[in-house]
Amino acid sequence: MTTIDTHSKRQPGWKRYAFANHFRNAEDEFDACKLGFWLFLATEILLFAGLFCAYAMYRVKFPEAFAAGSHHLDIRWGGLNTLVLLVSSFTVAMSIRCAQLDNQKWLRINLVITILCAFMFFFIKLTFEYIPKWSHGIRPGVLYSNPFAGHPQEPVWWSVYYGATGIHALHVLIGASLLLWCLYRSLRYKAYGPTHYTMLENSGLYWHLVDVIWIFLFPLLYLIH
Amino acid sequence: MQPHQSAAFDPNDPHGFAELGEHHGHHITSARTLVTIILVLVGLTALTVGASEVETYLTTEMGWLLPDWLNAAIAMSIAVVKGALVLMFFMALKYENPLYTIIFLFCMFAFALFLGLTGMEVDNRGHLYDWKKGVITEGGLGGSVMYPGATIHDDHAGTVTFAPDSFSGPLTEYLKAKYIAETGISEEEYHRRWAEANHVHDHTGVLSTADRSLARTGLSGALDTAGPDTDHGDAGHAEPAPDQPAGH
Repeated sequence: MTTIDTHSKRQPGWKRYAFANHFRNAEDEFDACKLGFWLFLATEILLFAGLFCAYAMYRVKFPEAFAAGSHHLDIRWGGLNTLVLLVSSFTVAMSIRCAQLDNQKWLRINLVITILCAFMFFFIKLTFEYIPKWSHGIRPGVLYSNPFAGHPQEPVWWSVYYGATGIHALHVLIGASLLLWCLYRSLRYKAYGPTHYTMLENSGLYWHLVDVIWIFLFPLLYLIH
Repeated sequence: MQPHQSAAFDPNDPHGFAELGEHHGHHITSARTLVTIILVLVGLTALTVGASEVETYLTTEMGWLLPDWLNAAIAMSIAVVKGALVLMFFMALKYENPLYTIIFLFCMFAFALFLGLTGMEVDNRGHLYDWKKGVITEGGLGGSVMYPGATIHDDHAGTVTFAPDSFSGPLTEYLKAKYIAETGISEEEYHRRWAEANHVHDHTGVLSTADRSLARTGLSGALDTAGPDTDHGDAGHAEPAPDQPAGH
């Protein structure tokens, strides 16, 4: 698919890129890739829609259990992670803008910040939220072994919590991997520039979607009474 | 311009689509817009946390009783605004091909279906059986179709009253008793009408069972070689099998 000549160093990768021969032009290829990626994003949205639906049903059914469970979450870690993701969303948008303007240096700086934010998010989630809770027996469903449950249905809340944030955290890691790959290609080939930045654009869209999901997860999980 | 009006014919592009192609170029969002959006997003995050803290303060310190939905309504309103900003500006839906927006809105429609239909089902669990349980109990067997209760009271002076709460038994028994009471016919006449209604013509009054299939005339009487029953005086009509519930 990608027809970059890795041996030639004469020109940056984005100039050497030749679109696939079944497209009329690079523009069409870009549009087709992006449309395909949006369709994939639709399936991602529907995946999380199922989780949000489960959340809504259980919250309506056991509001006290949700309030009791939510009180174990520290709003400061959740808030910090929200800011981390928002900033990373901004920097990935900036890196795409830099690609469009052929500003290779800031493209990479913005990508590095985005990736650092992604791993910071995951680090905070794992170190300050998942691990301490899990070790206290605050676990999903039948694994729940904390003797001080605030409500009989509290394990249901933790199932929703671990399910939703776990799948989201998986997406954070996948998004970070995509952006790392973009960074590698940018450093090695100058692969992204005004006429070709499809992979960066789609990875950015994926990353924004991860951010949007968290924008909804944060208040739903941390800001309940 | 029409495609075929092109001056030169291009064998690689016989329909002249190249002239109609979308050479729109990519939208480059200005840095100023992106910075504004991120600042607004951070501000809205502070706002939603602040609103939550204020709610906590009002309920715990001031003893206010806030409605249940308020917390979720405020948090979700702010989240919707934040999500819309990210989608419109960071994901550039505002500037891009509206097809992407349509795909996204379709997802929201599907999500609304998820929520609406699941919500209806969850919300109505138990309620459904409240009004149905007298007639249909769990198990799905025909024998369990019961009527919750009705008393048929005949004062033998032409007045038949039903007290719908004290009859208990199979629905079919209830309907039979109600019919007899209302029409004032004898048990014998009921069985005659029952046989007629069920197209029973073999003088036994027994319907088909799993072991024995009996010919009947009803919808396809012409196919019944025995023909419709003509001896109405026969005893078979007056004495259907005693174990045969009416209406089956």
